[in-house]
Amino acid sequence: MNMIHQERQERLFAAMAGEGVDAVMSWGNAWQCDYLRYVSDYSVLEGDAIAIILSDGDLHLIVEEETEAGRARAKCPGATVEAADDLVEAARRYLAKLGNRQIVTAPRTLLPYGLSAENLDRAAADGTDLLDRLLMTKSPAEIDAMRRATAMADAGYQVFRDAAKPGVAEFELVAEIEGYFREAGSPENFMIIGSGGQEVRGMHPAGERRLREGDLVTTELSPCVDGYFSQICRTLVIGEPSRAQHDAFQVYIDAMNAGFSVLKAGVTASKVAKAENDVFRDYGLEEYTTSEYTRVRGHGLGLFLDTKPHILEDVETVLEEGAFCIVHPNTYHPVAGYMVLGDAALVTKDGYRTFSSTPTELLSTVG
Amino acid sequence: MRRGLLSWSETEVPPAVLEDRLARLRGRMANEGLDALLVYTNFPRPAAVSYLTHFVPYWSQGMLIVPPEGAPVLAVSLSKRVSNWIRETAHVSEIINTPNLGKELAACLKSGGHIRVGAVELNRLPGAVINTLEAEYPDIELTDSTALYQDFRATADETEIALSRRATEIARTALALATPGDAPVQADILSAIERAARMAGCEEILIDVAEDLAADGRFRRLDGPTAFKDRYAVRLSVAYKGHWVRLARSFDQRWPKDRANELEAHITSAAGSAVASGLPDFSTGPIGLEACIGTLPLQSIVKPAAGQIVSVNRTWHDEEGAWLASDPVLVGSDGKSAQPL
Repeated sequence: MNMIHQERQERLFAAMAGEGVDAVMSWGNAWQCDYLRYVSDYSVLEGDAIAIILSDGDLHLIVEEETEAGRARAKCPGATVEAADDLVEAARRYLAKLGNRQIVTAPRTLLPYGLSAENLDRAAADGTDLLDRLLMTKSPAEIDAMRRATAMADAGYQVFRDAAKPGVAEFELVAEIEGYFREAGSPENFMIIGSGGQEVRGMHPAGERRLREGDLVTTELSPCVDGYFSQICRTLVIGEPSRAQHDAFQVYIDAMNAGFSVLKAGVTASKVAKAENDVFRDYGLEEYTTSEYTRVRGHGLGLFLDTKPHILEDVETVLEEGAFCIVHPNTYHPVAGYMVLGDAALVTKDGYRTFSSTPTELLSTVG
Repeated sequence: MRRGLLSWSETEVPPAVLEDRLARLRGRMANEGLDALLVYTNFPRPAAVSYLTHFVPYWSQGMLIVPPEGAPVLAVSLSKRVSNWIRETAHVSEIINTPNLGKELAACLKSGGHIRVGAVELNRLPGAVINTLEAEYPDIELTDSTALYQDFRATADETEIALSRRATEIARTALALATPGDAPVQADILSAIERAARMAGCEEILIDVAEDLAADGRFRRLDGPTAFKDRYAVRLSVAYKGHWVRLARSFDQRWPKDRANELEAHITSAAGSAVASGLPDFSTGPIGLEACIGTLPLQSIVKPAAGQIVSVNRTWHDEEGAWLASDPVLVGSDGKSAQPL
């Protein structure tokens, strides 16, 4: 077993013992795999998967297809792996074998209907909070993985910057990045992109639009190492940035710095979001902090790239020491168009620590 | 996430084709006495909604509500800012953006007076969504419509065949990069494969490897360092405009080209039979069949249907270890013979 998973298991078993839990059933798929990966070290690629781990370390994995079962057996040689036509029935059968042991399940929002508390013929408490606590605060090995993922994001951004040229289509640019991340050993990446001018309102998956001189090209790159995602958000100008683009981008620099200036263990997500949004208010741009123009002002990072807490003014979750999050005041600017800037940071007792080395400025393909 | 090309060409996928599929589905719904059908989507399970609307979510989740008549409603947990992108890449007019799918589904079904409602793969839909729907709309009569959908979905139309052929071409061209050359094959062929498939406009590519077929005849997900031995295999799962195929080939770096070419000819011609096929000097192992019949892009099937696109996964053995191959085929009208795509 690798060190990072050994640390996870020690923390998981201690938490289970502390709450009198005998077994944890977790669910995941390629969209959201953090609960599953935490208990099993397995990330499912196709279909949904369920991991049931007992307090003695016994691990049972249920996947939907034989293709996926082959991957699971190769990744988790110590686990029993079952490919089931009916994932829900297979999980119910396995749970029935556990008698009256104390079982918790997670995550509550995405567990299949057939396995929700209302449809189980046995008691199973909600274990989402138990796992959320473990997922938020990172161990030393987890922090090291996120540091390496951040370095990979920096290197990936350099590839992005080099490949972004007039005439290149968005999807061709993404192909270059994906080829690089594959070479660097990242099996997964979250990446959206926007290109154009003042008319661009956000980012989306890559399309067929070809880059032009003067375009703003925005992107989030989010590679992972050992399952842990980091992220970088930057805005690149194809050619020389205009004065208006520079002036607009200063708001984002100020807002990100304001968010970081209050970030430390014990503060709420709300406080960080308010610090970022206050900068927009000071510039007379409050409208662009609303959901009409932006989603969140940052979010947690870890085994899921959009994990709790979301950095929003109405989220009162306390950021604990060891949490990892990105601060990104990404939104639309009425003069320049959609702009992004964000760095991932480790929350420390007295502040924060970023690992990114990419300049936090409006970047250009020249100079 | 989905990070390949997501775009809609009305030449490749005409709106009339999507509307015809919807009409056929509604015929089945009427036969079962359903007031509406719920079809779930997220990026690991996009296939059913994509088949009906061309919509593939790059992230998050959604539900398509298919009423007996009128435009289907797509409820998605993506922000309103994404709606224009959805309209550009899919044939949908009614979009609801909501963080609470269950509540919006309830409101929509209730306002339409839809009581008897089918759901594709009901038991494995997110519990929070369906439990909320039931709580908000106690009169609803939910029923599982998985079999209805599977039966409807079996036969491929011309559009599906064309898109699956394109996915196969992309996969075949990319997989050719794994062929042994004069120098030993290195792990960097995998990034070249990824780059080539994405440059060709694929929606997604998943790469599995079996680096040493003499030691282990199983594919594993490519998620770390790889070192190819003498005999190895690479499997590509490639999507193009919502249609997935699997293509896998084994290679032996010690073999002369003639031997490799002879075996490749046997494998390609044998794929169409969709049954156990011999390979010179090999014993035949298990065969697996996969097709798109629900929300998953590919899932195991027992018996292929006439006119269905099926990926055939085969294993053979000799004294040196396993030999693996996967090929997409189009099953003939007799339900037995098939042609490689």
